[in-house]
Amino acid sequence: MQPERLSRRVGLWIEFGVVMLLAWAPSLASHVIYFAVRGHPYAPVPGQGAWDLEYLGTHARLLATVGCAAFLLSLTGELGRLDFRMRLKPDGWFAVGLLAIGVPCAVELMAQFPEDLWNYESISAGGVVTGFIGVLALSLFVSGVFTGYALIRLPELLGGPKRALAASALLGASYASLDPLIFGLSALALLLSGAYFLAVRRLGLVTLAYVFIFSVSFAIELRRFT
Amino acid sequence: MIETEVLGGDPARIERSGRNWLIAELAVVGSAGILPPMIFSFVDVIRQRPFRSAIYTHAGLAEIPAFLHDLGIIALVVFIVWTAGDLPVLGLRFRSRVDIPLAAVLFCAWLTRAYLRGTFAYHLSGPAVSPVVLSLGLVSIGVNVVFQELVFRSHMIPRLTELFRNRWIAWGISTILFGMWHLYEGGRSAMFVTLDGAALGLVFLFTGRSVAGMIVHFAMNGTLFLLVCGYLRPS
Repeated sequence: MQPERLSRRVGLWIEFGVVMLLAWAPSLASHVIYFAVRGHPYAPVPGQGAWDLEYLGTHARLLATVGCAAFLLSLTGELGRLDFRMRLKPDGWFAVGLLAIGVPCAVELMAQFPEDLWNYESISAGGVVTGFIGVLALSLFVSGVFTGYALIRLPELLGGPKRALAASALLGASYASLDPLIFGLSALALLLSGAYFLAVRRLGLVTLAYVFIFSVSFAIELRRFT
Repeated sequence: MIETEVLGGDPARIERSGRNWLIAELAVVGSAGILPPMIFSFVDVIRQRPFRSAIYTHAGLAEIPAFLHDLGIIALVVFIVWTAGDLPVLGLRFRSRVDIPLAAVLFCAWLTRAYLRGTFAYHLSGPAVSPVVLSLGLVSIGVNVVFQELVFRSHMIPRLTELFRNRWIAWGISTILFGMWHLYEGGRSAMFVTLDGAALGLVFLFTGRSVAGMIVHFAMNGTLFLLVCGYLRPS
């Protein structure tokens, strides 16, 4: 089948499937397997609990997925829609709202970590740097893929922004966890950031708010293990 | 705020020519498919961990996320090349009269070398697994092999040839990266893997197809996996 014979809609569905296969499916599979094997709905998500040098590869994978989404957007000349700029006003007010949901979500997520998930005795300075790279990578990934890319493609694919918003929130929340409380809080945070992105078309402060949220969970981890 | 200028347009109809597109495409596929595992490899080397065989990791449910990620990379490469209207460069056509004998010759050469190196003895210490896990593992190895052949040979060699206008440079880079990617197996083993990569690259270079490479690569990894899982264990 020649690509030019397909309609734009079918082409975009295939493209969206490729990105989700890279970004979402492996994490969902992890959650399902952990649930099936351990009876626990939480599996470590790439970028979290990742203050070991070994996780640099995982962080690179997250950033690469954002790069893939950006490249695929550029194929249709729509890279400009993935806009990471910010304006303090009115974006700042929105960021405060997102933090109000996101921080409790991060705290709850960390409280649910099984104690034996990582058996490290101490954290080196290099580990802290690696962890912070993970925080940045995860923030870019969540805002770039589940908010930015998904909400650029889904309104056209699902026939409206409301459905797109709901779908992106479901995808992002199931990436985070299958635990009902964390799933719900993540979905709420994604709904808020998605609605804001649809309104202003900027991702800068969304990303920054996620950096803060994931930094909180990272700080809790550090406190637990040091 | 950037206004959306282009809402129309077909992925297939975007003009994609020139060095910048080539470099961007190579960077995207490389950063998604090659870089992360290479970082895992380097960390193993830095930490001087005992060398390990990745073949073990295919035996279990925990491999499913990685399997899905490999599938994602395959889909990404095929999609990118397909939308550029370049699908034939991947060399996915199968010609049984050439590909099967070629794969058989290469596999025999590998078997001889592996026997002389004592590779089989090294792979005899794995856990026994059920037939279901064995089947899952073989499917996972199959997908992983297709992923590696697509990324290192089918995509990288034609694109780098276009970039450098020299197929031997492309072959050299692909071979070196393939070897570095396998550093977690240890320096000596990675050297032999580099030789395997060179041979598989030559097959792609001269036949223009990657199916023979996929067959022999699967046969190699599949044999080690069967050994690990106790299915080829000598009495």
